[in-house]
Amino acid sequence: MSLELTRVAHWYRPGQELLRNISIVFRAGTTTAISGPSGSGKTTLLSIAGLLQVAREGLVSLDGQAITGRRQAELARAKISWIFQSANVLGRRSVFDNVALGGFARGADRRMLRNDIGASLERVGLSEFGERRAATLSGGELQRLSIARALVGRPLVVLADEPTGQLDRANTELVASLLIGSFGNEAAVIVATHDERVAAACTHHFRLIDGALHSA
Amino acid sequence: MSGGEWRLRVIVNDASRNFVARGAASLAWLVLTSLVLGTIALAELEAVDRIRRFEAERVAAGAYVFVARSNDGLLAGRCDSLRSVDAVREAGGISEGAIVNLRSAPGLYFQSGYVTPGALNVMSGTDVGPLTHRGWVLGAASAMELRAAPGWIIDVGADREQVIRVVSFERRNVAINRWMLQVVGPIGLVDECWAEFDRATEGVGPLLLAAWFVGEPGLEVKRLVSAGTLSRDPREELLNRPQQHGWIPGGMGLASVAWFVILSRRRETALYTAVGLSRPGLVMLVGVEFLLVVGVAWVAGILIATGVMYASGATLSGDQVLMGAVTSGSAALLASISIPILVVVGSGSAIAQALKET
Repeated sequence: MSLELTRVAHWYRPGQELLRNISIVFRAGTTTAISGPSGSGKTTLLSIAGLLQVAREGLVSLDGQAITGRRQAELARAKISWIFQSANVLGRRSVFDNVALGGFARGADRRMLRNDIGASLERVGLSEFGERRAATLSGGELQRLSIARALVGRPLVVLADEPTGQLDRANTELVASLLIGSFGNEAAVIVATHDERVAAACTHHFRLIDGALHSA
Repeated sequence: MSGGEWRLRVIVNDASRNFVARGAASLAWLVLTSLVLGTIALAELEAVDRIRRFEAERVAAGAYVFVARSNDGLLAGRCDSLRSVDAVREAGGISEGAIVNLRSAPGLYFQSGYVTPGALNVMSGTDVGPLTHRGWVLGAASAMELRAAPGWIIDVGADREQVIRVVSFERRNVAINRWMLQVVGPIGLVDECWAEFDRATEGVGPLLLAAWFVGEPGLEVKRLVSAGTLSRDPREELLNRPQQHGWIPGGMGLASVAWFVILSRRRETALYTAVGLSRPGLVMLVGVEFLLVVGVAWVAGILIATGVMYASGATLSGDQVLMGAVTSGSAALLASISIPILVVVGSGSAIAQALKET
């Protein structure tokens, strides 16, 4: 499996290119860190790679197949999982329900996923929290919940946007190790981060400077 | 089970869980929607009820009664035969009799008269019912003056006869209300022939009576109620009542509430998109929750509206409630149709940015 960006360029205002001519391949079993200053376009790059946003120019391909059109993007998005800086959960729903959302795109419900959810929660150390409301979890626990949700989705690509941005040192190490170590050879993990320790733990590291990717 | 059905079940299940999980917020949404739909239904029920009461008042006052008379009188049998005409609800003739003086009340004089059976119904606006034996039918005013009631014996001249019925003619003929009447068969001549038509057939009344008694010298057909009191037409009012269009502003109002809900839950819809839910799936997810709210609110709104109407003393008919239900249901439908557009526009495209915002 590979996710490939070919000659991707993007801008929000004409004449002010945020991303310029970016070409990169993310392969299964690798972890890639993308670092760079705030506003450098890391989130936009991940959005384009994750098919939540369409680039002004260039192509995104999954397993060699170019993704063009909304329907194709929707189908491909089912193979991509997200982990965000501020943990995005349904706060009033249980931890179990939130992790079950990972199987949503597969059309699977809570009952079908019971074993998967249990294993994922155990993997991230939240097996005791299943029935708790997600809103009652701490920041580190919420990020672990996001990782468990991503695991249940069995994604081919995992995109993490500043996943440790709001965590203390201990939680940063825990979340980073889970993120880098949980998906094995099944998925390509791409992490946008400011944290050099997280970047250093990845197999590849690129810096996004002036809209272009540079190997760190 | 196909994948599509399975997926639908998953989405419906998740939408229901979201509704329950949001607790007070869902309840507030439900209450607000119930009040909007209840107000639309109430306005409709109240308007229809007001028009129907007015219509009932008009009927009670004899709005659809026509009176035919001629110089030489009209054949009682001809008048009575109008009762068999489909367009005619009831008909009967009346003739003036002598001024009578009661032996038991010397000094009190009453006008007597003769009526065919149908005339009592037309002149009173009620169903007097069958009269099984001969006797006097007193107008309510006469009965009050004599303090008489059914079963009393009245001596008029040499005759002694029972009072068999007291009938109020006050709404349609105040003068006859102080008459003493005897019911006779449809033979001979009557001074006037009264005929009441249905609302739908009253337009043909004058023509029908004129044709029925054609050839009678000096024939005159008049409406019982003067034209001035008929300036309002309940049929027109019912057809043109503005409340029936309440579904348009109501539906837009509900759509506005839905829009607010979608915007306030943009992060949630962005999350569903990020976990791989397609746009149709997202529309379905929000739509199911919306339909759940609107469906319950629609029923609650009708119950609220009918409850308020009953509490205010109104008597509602089934078709009246149906009118309220259709109008408020149309508002719900209009808002439901807008949901896909609202979801697509409201969920936006910058999903990752929406989820990044703290």
